[in-house]
Amino acid sequence: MKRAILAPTDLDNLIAVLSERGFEVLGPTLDSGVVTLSSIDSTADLPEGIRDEMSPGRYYIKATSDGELFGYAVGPTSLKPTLFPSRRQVWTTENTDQGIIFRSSVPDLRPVAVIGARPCDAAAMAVQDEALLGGPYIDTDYARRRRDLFLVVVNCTRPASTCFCASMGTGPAVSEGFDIALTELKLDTRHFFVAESGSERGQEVLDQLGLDPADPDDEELVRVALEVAADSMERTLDPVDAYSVLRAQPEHPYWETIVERCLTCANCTMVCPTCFCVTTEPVTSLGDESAGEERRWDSCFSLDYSFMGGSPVRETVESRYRQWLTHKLSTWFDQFGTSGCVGCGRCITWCPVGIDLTEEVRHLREQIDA
Amino acid sequence: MLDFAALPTVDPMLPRPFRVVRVLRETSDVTTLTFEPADGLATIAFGPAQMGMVGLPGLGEVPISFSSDPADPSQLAMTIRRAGAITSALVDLSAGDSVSMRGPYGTEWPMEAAEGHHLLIVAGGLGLAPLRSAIVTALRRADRYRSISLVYGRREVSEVVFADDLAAWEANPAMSMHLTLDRADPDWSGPIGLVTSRMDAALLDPASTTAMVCGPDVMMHAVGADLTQRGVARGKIWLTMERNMKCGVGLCGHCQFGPLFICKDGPVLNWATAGPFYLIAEV
Repeated sequence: MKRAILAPTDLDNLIAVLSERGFEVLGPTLDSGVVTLSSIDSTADLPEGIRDEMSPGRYYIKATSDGELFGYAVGPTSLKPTLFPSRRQVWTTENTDQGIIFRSSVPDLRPVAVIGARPCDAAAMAVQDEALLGGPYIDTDYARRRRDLFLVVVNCTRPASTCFCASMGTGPAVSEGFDIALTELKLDTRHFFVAESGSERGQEVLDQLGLDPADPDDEELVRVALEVAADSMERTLDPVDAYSVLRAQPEHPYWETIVERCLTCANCTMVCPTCFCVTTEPVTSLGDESAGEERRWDSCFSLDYSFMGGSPVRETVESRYRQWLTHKLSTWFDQFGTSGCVGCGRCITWCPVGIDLTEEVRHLREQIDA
Repeated sequence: MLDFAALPTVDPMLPRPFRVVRVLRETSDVTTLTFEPADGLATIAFGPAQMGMVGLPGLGEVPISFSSDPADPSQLAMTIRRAGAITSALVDLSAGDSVSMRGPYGTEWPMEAAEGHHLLIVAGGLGLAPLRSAIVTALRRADRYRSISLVYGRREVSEVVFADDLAAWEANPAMSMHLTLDRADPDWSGPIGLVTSRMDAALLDPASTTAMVCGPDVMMHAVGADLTQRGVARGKIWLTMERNMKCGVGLCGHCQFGPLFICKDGPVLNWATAGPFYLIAEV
């Protein structure tokens, strides 16, 4: 695929072109102290100069004057809330002369274009595709949102200390599932992006922008920047080893040490870009006797999640943490053929007590081998 | 690349309206409801042990196995025990009331694969409900099985469900009945003990037996281990499981049991597949 050079002003054109094509354009914005995804009109909405520093249980924002538009690593918001809303109406009832009728709640959706998703987010989307669209039954709401998504991924040149995508094979450069991939380069004298298309319509949009082709020197700069980013990642996880570690001894006493730390708050499952568990909630209307059903994100950390016949199947903290970690890193392979983890590190950052799954797997491996 | 045009567009979570046409109070807290569709379309055709998501708009849905004869979908029925808010409301329904219904979901009892074998059916309490469809299916072609035995254990005499069926099966020469009560009771003159205490009599030839088991987890665990020890192949011991389910179609995550989704990999699983996970507490 031919690569092109995209100046920051071209990025404004890209936003405009996508808007003209009917997309609501979402991009990274600084909101309530975090980099999140919101509707954007121009590059002025982007978090210029913003850096994020993360460690287990910690997230700090730092302002710089370096002018990079995507200089942060990864905020708490993946593509999940866009493609798989945390709460949605599933159906409503209507009372007719013939009796009750159930109607699917199919919202009018404007197609969404996301600029600035990370490679781990694109990888997580592929994981959710398998879980939600793999069949035999599918999430039809996800299918619509997913079909209409235009995805502009921005590769990662400044991974956080919590990132481990390189070891998971999901970053720091995106390899598939995108329409356009950008790599931001800020040199002393130049600030530009190297762009490549990952789909026909991605190429159409790039063509519409009338960009200059990238020269080999620029491509080399991209290659080096991404190689440096990959090498700089402190954390690693071996997905194949994690698969067998978590299968090996589900009743190893090590799991009980989790109890001393895990609050079962479910933060990890909420920020996880692949966690897809949901529950349903009935909705009633006092006014017109109609009823309905809502679906909202759920978490295997809640007691209600496994409630059956008067009590939860998973009552202890260790059984619930074990369910999450084992599903994410091991049984996910059995179910869907891949790891359920993409190495984004969000669960490490947003765990209020800083539990780090890469460390837990390492400790478990050491305990089993000991 | 995903082919979105080829994906189904009907939401599997959308239920259909059904109407209760008959109510049979089995015990003080168990009711068999017979349903017909209220939308003018065909009723649900199910296989033995398959389940439906039945619900009451404004209250929610629960997974329940169909307990009627699969060969007669016009008598589509579920046998429901009063447990939580939804099942309590279902148990109290009257003829003419509306419910929501989705299904059928899940795997079936391997009725054809069991042909040529001794068919050993083991039920604990209301576990008889998802086995009723297997029994009536087997009795219709009883000559294809070397024998058909039912081991049915209960905690209380009053707990009995399908009393008319039990009487008919007792009288059926094709059926060998082994009823037991967990503990002594003045109203019970039969054997006392758990279902496993009846296996000496009920299990004829382990090498050519296919077992179908349903009851509480602890009972299925005991029966799976007991039959394995007695020489029945793990792959010929089948059980049907229950777990929390919000969707029934593999999308909500709740029913996971190790790597298995009880809603789509089960509810009917064999002991070779499910047995190892029974050994893990709170899996």
